[in-house]
Amino acid sequence: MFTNRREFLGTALSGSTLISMGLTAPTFLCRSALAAAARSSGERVLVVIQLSGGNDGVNTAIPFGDDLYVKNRTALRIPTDQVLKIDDYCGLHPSLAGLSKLLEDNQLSVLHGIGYPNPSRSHFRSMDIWQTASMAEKLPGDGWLGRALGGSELRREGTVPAINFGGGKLPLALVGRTEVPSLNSLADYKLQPGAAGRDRLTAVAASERTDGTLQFLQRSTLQAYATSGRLEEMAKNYDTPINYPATELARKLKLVAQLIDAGFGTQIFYASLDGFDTHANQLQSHANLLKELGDAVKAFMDDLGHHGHRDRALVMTFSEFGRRVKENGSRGTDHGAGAPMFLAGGKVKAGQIGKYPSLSDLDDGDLKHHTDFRSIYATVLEDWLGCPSREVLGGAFNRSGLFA
Amino acid sequence: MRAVDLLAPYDATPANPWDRRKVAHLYRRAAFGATWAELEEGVKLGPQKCVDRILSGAGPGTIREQDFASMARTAVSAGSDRNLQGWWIFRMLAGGHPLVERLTLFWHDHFATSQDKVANLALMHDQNQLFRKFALGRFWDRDTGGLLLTMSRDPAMLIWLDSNSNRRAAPNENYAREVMELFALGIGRYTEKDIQEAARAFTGWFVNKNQFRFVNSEHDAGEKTVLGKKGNWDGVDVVRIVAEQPAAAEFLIGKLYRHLVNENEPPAPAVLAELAEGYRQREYDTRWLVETMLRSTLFFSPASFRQKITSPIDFTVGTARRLEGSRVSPVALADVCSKLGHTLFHPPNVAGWEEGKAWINSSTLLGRSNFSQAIVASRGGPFAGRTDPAALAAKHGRSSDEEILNFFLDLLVDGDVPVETRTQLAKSLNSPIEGVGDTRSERIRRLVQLILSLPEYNLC
Repeated sequence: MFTNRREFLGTALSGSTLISMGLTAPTFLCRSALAAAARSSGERVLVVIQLSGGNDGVNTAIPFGDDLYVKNRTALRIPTDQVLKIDDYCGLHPSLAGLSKLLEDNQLSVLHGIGYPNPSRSHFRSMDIWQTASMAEKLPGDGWLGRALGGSELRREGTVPAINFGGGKLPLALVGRTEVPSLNSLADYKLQPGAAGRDRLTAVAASERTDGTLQFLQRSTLQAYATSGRLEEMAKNYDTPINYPATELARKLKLVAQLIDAGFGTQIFYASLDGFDTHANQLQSHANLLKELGDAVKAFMDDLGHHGHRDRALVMTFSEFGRRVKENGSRGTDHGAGAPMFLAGGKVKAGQIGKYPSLSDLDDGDLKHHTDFRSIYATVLEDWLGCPSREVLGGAFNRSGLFA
Repeated sequence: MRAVDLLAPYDATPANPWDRRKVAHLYRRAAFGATWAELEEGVKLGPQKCVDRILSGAGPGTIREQDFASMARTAVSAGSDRNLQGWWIFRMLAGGHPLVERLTLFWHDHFATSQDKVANLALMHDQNQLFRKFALGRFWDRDTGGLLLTMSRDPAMLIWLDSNSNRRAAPNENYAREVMELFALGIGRYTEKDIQEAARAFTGWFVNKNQFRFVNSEHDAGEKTVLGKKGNWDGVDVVRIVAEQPAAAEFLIGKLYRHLVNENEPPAPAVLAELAEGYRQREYDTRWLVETMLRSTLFFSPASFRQKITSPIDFTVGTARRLEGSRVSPVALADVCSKLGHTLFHPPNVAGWEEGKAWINSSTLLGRSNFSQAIVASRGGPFAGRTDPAALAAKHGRSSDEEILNFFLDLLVDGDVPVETRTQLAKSLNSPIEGVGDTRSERIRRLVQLILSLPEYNLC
């Protein structure tokens, strides 16, 4: 059992490894061994959950009190008696019972009408816009969180600044000057050759490389070896009474909870839930996805609450776009624009924030947004993470009051 | 250099000689890695004859086509994704034409269709065979429609992009959008209105009993304007209108260039223009395009050489080939690829795999390192005893420590590692193996494991 960060930082890097890594070791690793004493248990954490494919916002936060909802949604209408009502106009999809409970406990806010001007209906372009926080013709190669990680506010000596959950590519949002590791499960982080093998592998990878692509590979390799050692120790020591659902998202959030509780020091976590591109027969598939989301976030917040970390965490969901208000002919919905976001955490200003966009005043069949997503980012960066947003977002955006 | 010189066939010069490294480069990009014998033979052949070899099929070809077909049938009837993945990997390892398999993989990535949604292995296999058939064929042509039209009517594709819901009364835009955005033109080369109109033209293109079927009553035969052309278009017309856009050749060339030649920089405008003109003149003959790229001075230039990041397929299949493994399980290789983010028949989304740096993160690097240990292991794991590095070195007459080290560095990383790394590797041959079985053969296995784990081995 490790009682503090010093112990597991100490074990992660044996002396011989550190020496053999020489000057080319990633700076955070060198610092970590020197500054292991600096326990930072109070830092705030942001967990971003990306809903990939374009979430149908109209059937997520449902304007059940509007005749136009009934008119536009025939096959896909959620009956009024099943909606988890927030007020007499809007309520949550019945599969979002977990989020509804968080709302009752003042741990959830529903942000209506979030989007950006001249929305793209391409998954890729629109996702890139959300991830880069840019609408330039040629988008930057880095993401909003990646840029934020480049500033000094999110650097903690000896910590991995951000972790992506998933085995695939790193989301553009996290791309920046700092390499962000990806984690799928702790088992994936087991280096089979063991501790002696790790030292030997590190040693042959550590001498100086000059070519750019090769340096990238080298940095990533050394970081992978180091992170694996730390995670192996951490996994042994977690205990929770909360039953997480048996879903991928829940599994990832449980890992986040473990990392937070272990004082791992990481402030940004990123996970994706895929499958929201519901062009056909969406009723069941959309319900399943929302259930996975709501139940996982509920278990996560409960777990954090149990361990006394609830007020340190903020969960934020987004999707690249919403969907057309009017359903299509195949019991599905096509690409649209504007959608709600959720924020969950012990410090959020609970309830609905912003007006539900009009169902009659549409833009080519889509909801009109009233709040630029970058003003949400600005608020999260400034008011939650204490990080200046102007440079990260390429401009000053009005902050909304999102926190209690 | 002018475009015409960059695209001219490469010729050896004192500054840029034809050597084992160049052969290795060609086999890395156009096949799935070279064995030692292939490297030696390639040096003797010279550059253009070596490319001839690749173009005509440089694989072992020890398995007959009907045997591959029967393996595929077995995998499909067993409903096993993993076995079908293994079937394809076996084709890469043992088939007669690695370049065709590489292009098949390219088309699978380009027309990325996933079994996740298609949920029909027979259709996924049939689509894969079409990629193979058109691998070096025509992307589009006026008479038959080529690969682009074939894919527009391919049952797996139609299921994947919701064509069955594309009805006259309520068009579904999914295929219309992706054929323009991802398959033929690229974003910004069309309007939202073009997509809506094209979707109407594709209405009534359904799948019925696993076959393409045109349902006239669901087809909107009215007038549409697509990319500035007005008429009572159907899907065939839209594919033609799209393919005849000037952007079409350039879009595809850009993508193939990224895959074969340089994933870091797009082709210079003059190079792109010259390739596009040739491709159009030859009616989208992909063989010509691939051949021109592979023979070019550009392909053998420093801008291309070892500047690409190895995909999981190349990492695993290439390792099995280079180490001349015997009876290495293709299904086990497929499982490793899945862990590393390259699950055949399951691309992550309709844009395919992102490739390049996207292959690399902490978890995939640890996976690669763990594979490097597993593939040389004498016992334990799915590859136990399937490779024998000590025997391989002996077969090629290498016996001293230095000979063995140089042999594997040359075979695996073009002999190019930092001096200190070379020293560390040499030392490892002299340091005992912890635990049981400290033999010379085990130390050579460990040496190869370390080389396969180097940052350099991820370069392609």
